Amino acid sequence: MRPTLWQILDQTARRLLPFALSLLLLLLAIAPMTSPGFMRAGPMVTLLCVYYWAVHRPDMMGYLGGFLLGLLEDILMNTPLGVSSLVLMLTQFVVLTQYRFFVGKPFLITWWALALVALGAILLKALAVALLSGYVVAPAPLATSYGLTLLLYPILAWGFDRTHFLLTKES
Amino acid sequence: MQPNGQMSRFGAMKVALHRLAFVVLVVAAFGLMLLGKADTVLVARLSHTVTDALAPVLEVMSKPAASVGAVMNNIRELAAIREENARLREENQRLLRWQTLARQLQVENQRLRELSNLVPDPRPGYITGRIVADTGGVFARSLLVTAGARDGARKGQVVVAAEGLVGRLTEVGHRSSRVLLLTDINSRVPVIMEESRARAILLGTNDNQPELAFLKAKTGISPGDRIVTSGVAGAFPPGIPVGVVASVDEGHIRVELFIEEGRLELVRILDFGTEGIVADPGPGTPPDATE
Repeated sequence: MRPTLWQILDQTARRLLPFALSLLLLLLAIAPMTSPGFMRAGPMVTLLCVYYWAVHRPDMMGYLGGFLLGLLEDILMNTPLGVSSLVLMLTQFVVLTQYRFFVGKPFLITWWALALVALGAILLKALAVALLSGYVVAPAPLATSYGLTLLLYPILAWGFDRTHFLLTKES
Repeated sequence: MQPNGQMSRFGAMKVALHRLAFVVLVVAAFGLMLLGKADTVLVARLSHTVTDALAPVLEVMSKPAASVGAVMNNIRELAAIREENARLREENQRLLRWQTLARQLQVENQRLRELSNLVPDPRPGYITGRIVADTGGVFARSLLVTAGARDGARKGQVVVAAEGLVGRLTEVGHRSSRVLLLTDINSRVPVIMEESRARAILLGTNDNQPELAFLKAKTGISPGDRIVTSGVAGAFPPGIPVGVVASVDEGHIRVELFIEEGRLELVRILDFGTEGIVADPGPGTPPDATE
């Protein structure tokens, strides 16, 4: 049976939703807060988005999504182009190769795994930035960013869980 | 239902395509890194296009964020309103005494200028921009403001807030621009100690407190000393307040800026009519080839 136009639109919207949400979060993360926002310490919001969808629904955000999200992040954040794309795609790759490990695991396990993945990601990013622009990022801000990234994950995952639930409710 | 064999072949093809996409995109990411090093003009244009396109979205988003921030500030201020009031009264008295002194000095200054035929500093024109994105973070520190080439902003112009120097425009799009903050690792600003007139360079470190470097005489610097721009090299007009010395310890002099980066809403972009400012000599900054 051929899908109707409405069904095609519906499917497309569903497939684009994770990417759109991630983009929205990226923009929110750089929205200027008049209060001293913890966002200035730079939690890796895009990494969390990419990680969540790679763990739960790899079909909803492919490598192209990770690439484009990283590209936008680099442009907006003024970091060397290509660095975030590479880091995000490698994160997706690592999670996808370990898919068996992640299937049906409780939240705490995925959180713990994130701690490892995010550590690799932030170190890789610091290394790539150091190679491309010639400066070494001080360890203290890196540690803060890493810690905030981990702390932010439960909140973000909760929101994404709701979205995920809505997405799968009817399809 | 499809036959099982066809399903598995379809699945295998999908996996292969997926892997191919990964390889192609990783190569593309490396390509972008090389492009960023090789063709800075193209990269700058790409960046302008994206920030210009996203500026209206960011502007809409920054408004609720600003209101949330304002509400939070209100609550915080309400809690401390008594102490704040007492402090302000005291400060007001002190400032009134300063005002009297300033008036006397202004008159005296005016007379002395007339006596010595001093050439006055040019008065800058300015445009005001709203900050729509604050990309302060671990790897770079900059702001996006809603003022671009159509409003008269140009690369290299100096950006200030009421409290003092904010930074400099490094990228100017049609309707948005990027301000490189003083704390960014690529930021280098010639400064001068207001009292001792010792010259130095303010280096950004991607941390909240930039450092003073190339200071001739390190002795006699103590926390609390005021720092202003020096105007050496013509990149910055002299006398814009920058900050105060926060701490001095072996070889590192850290500076507390007058502005609070996370709290800025509007900034002024000054036009001193000084053309041909060279781009930052710091690594990673594209040379000024677009103008």
